Amino acid sequence: MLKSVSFLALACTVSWVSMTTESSAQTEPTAPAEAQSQDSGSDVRRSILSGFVSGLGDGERLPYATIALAEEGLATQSNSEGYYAIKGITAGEHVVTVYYVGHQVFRESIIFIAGQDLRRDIEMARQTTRLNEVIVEADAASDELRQLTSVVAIPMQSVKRMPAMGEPDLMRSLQLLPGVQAASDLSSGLYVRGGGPDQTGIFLDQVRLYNPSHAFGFFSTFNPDAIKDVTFYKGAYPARYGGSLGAVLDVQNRDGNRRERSTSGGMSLISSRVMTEGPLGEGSWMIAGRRTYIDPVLNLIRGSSDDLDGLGYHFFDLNGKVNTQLTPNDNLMISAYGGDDDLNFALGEGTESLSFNMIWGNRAVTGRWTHVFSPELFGRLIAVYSKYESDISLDIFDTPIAIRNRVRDVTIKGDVDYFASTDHTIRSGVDLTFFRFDYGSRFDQYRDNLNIEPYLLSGFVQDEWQISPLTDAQLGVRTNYYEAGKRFTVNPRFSFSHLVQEGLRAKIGGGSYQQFLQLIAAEGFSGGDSWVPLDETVKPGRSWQIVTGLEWEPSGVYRLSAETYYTDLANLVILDEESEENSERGSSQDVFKTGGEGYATGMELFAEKRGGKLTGWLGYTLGYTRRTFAEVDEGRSFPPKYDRRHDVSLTGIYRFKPVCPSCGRWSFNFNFVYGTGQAFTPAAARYTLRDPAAGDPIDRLLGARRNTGRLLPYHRLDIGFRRTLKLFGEGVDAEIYFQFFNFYNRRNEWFVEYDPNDANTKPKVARMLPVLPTFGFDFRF
Amino acid sequence: MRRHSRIIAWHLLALLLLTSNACFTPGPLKADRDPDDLFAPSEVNVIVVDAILIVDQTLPAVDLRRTAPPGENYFIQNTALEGAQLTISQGEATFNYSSDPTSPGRYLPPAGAPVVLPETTYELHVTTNSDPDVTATTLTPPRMRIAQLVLLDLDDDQEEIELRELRLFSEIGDEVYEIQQNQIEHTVGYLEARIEVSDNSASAVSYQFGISNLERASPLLFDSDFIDEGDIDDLEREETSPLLRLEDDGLFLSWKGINYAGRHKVKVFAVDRNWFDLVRTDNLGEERESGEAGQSFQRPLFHIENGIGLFASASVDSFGFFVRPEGIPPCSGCECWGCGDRNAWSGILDLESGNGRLRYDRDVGTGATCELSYEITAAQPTQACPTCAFAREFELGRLTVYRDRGACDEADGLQGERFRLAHGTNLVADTSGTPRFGLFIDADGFWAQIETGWSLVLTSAAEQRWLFGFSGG
Repeated sequence: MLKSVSFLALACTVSWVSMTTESSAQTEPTAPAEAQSQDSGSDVRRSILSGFVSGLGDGERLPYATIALAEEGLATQSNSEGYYAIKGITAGEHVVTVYYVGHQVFRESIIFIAGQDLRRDIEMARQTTRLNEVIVEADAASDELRQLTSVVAIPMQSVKRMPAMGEPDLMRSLQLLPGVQAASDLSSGLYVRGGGPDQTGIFLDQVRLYNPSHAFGFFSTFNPDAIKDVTFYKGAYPARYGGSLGAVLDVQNRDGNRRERSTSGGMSLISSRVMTEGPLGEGSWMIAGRRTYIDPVLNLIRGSSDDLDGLGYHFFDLNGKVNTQLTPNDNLMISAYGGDDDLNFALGEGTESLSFNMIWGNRAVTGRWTHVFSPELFGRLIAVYSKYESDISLDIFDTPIAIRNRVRDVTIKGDVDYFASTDHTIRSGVDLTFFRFDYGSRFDQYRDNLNIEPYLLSGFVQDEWQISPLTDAQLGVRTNYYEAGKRFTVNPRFSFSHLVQEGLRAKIGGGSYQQFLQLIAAEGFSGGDSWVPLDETVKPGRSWQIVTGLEWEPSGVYRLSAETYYTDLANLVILDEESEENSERGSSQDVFKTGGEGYATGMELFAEKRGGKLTGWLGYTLGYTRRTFAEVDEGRSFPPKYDRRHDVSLTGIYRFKPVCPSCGRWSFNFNFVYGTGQAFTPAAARYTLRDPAAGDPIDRLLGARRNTGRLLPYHRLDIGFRRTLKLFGEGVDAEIYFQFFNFYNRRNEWFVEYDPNDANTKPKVARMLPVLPTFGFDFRF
Repeated sequence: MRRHSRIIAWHLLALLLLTSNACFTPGPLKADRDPDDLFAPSEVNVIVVDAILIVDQTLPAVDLRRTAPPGENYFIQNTALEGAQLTISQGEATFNYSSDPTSPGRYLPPAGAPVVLPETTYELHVTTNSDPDVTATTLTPPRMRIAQLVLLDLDDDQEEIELRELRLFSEIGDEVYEIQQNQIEHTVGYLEARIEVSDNSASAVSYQFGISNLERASPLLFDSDFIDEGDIDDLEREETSPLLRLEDDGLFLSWKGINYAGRHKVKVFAVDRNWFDLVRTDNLGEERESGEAGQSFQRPLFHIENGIGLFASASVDSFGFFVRPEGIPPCSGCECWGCGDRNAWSGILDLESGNGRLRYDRDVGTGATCELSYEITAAQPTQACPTCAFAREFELGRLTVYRDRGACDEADGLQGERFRLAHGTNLVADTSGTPRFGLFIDADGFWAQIETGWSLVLTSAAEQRWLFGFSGG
């Protein structure tokens, strides 16, 4: 974890920040007696400095803060719980400097006595916004993250400020990053570097969420007020994660305010949300909720139709967390998440009736105990219960039709961070997950049922190794034993980072990856998504990836990066919708077409401005993706729908100067995206062929080779205005906003439909959303 | 503050101009294009083979056609492939086909062609002057027969129980339609055909039902109000099942596909790989709803070298039964829904385009039936009667006769006749909440309500359809 190289990377940031922000440097040396002394007994000459980094105002632990002793040439990063340890400090007085984006630089002079270790918990004050101030915005990417390839840290403040469709949404903001696409305006699913949405593992407080969407994919389940930290690995993710062929999104909710009670929330045209938090003894609590209010609109529709006996839809989600500091070295956290979407309607009565019910949602409970075993050894023990359910039932003329999917998992995992030496930090852990999958469908007398209860035992070890002052490496390996099929896999991962010159870093990373679960989803209707495990009849998906990157930070304000990637995919599966209607789907082989192969390759360019009145980024992606299945298009290679040759995204926020210190501040924000049109299968000819069982000749359309056509290019501009306010005197910070999604109303093409039964049909184009104006209100007190 | 307001105002003005540009002018901001641009005419003039070999029947006729451009009006008669050399071979034997002089594109087997053998490979070879040779093979399925037909149901514990066994053609011939044992009530239980395959033979690749309702005027078995207006026309008396896998020698017949009351003849096809692959990958009636939007349209699997189409084989057997509407006590024939000379005119018209169709169905009850329809194009609004909501004047266009078994009489001679019909405002029926209004006709300048007529308008986001009908006359 110790990285003296961090100084080179930070040099410009440090000098720049000190020019523009008020330092909270404390220059009076802290006497050793003031620090909690611990005797390591291992090194009589050098000391260890350790502790937690947290926010001054709320006590929220700050992950990935940079802690440095410049004179010693030592630096480190806090871990995901805000814990840090620096080894090898010589006796004497040293200035400890701590950096964390959005916070004032912390400086403290500490006297170290030879061989005596110090425990120092650090609290950092938030930057305060003042007139004419220029603040570093943007990603909280720490040094640790910057040494990895393809990783992005997204500050939630930026997510909230981006123009959106009614609600600020994390997933839709991620779709603006180079290499990330949306399937359509209606979908919050992530298509990362040529991979489908199931190839991105999504974790909330270390719990895997199986369908993190509301409103048929329109919104994600993440409540923006509740989120503390977001880390998004677009590829080549490290060994501590697993289970996805492509990418990982790791979201951490807030722990809760340890100092005082506070509340924030917002109202939009779609829903309202609120988050409140406060201290609990030495710990904290947090609860956040959100609910849509589409119901009254549906009631109006119901009222206008005599036939419609029932029509209802709503979604909600709730997040809660309790943190207890049992001892200075022990923390117990319990968090819970629950969210549902519920849609139902009914027509008619009795045998001439039609009813439809659909409900899906996630539940998750996590218990986490962290313990500082010694200054250099930090451990976690986590127990997780997670449940995803999706139930679709349709009853038409007394004929029941149903699709049911339940995924329950119980996970026990333990891992440790061992700050082994100045050059090595070892992370290691073991996960044991017991899955219970239940996928069934019923149509009249036909019933399918796939039940499987496998367990997955995974272990990983990862060494963050400072090879030289300019070169870092992260080497790891993850092993999996999947009970179904008794499959044992070993997945090595690596990442190297070399500081070529000040501000210029070259990176390479890669590894191999496995996926044991498969998503069955309908893009246009992602509510009833089903997750199906692969059993012994089908090999689990496998990928290997290699990513190279170059990152240049000419100043703390600007950052430019270029990355290339190549992903090789094997053992892919897609849903087999061409087997006999009554075929028993008792195994994975019955459900899927198997043995797919593919690749995705491309290049991403990214330019970011993180300071000044105008902040934002410009991204460009050149991508190629292909898939091959023996049973699709006679084994020919084809581009999947989301193969996108060119993709450009531009996003920005311009802050106007407030006219007076007490005046509110206007800001203007915008997103512009442009992408090559999606691939589709056009009609290549007309012909006549009999329906073999009926015998009648039928005029038909002949499909061309798969996905050889392209829709028109996609582009869209979203804009928004925001204004900060003070309400009730100075008691409530508020913001109002007005936004236009798809401002110039381009009716982008979504997909093309042909009527194959009509000889002289013209294709119909389904279009995406028109201009959507929305407004809303956020508050915090 | 004023400067800020000005900046914001300029931004807004510029952006509003952009918006209006997108709305009213063609250009890069628009996403409209000619629908024909969405065709990719890459496979025009490809040879289409259409032939099915049935085990224990003589070699079939073969139809050869060519594909046509996708963006142009299509006429099947222009696609016939003539002058080709066509052979079907089995082992050492080769059978030379000849053109059917009465049907362009049809090729007939030689006189004395043998019957198709089970579990035997047949090869098709087509040669033309301008195309690469077209070839295909089929391995015929084994012989198959229906050994039993049983009516099953589920008890309270959802366990399967056998209600009764039905009789087969092989036992009593066409009496299967008459006897009480073979009469079933709609949606009560379900039928299972138990299949017997020749000894020592593997099962066929797959199975499929072909379902024919033999009545011509029997009623729908469910309320058509529950069927999407666009699907009403799709409810046929001839239906096919999805492909089915033989489970424990049994095949379930779903109620889906049984739309009308009365006599049903069901053919069971044991099919070869070519048939199976074509049907399962076909776009007709596809229900590939999962996955990515717009990705369900695909190229079927043909197994034809240098061409497309179907060169397949099957074994076939059949069974018959009678379906009476739900809630009707045991009855016989047309007594279940009313006997006599039943006929009905029914029309559908898109009120915006003025295009539609007028259909005529008649079942005299003696076996004489008629099914035909006239095309309606460019129906024009006209002065309606005082108690009517609207009226249309139209001319009956192109006639299509689906079936003429001696009952069409003068109904097929109306092409070119003009009619004026109107949608009344007086309610004549309110079936399950769907109101039907009176239907009026202009007879020699006077509007008169048709006694048996009904009229309703179905409105969707895309169109307004006028549905009307009457019987007699």
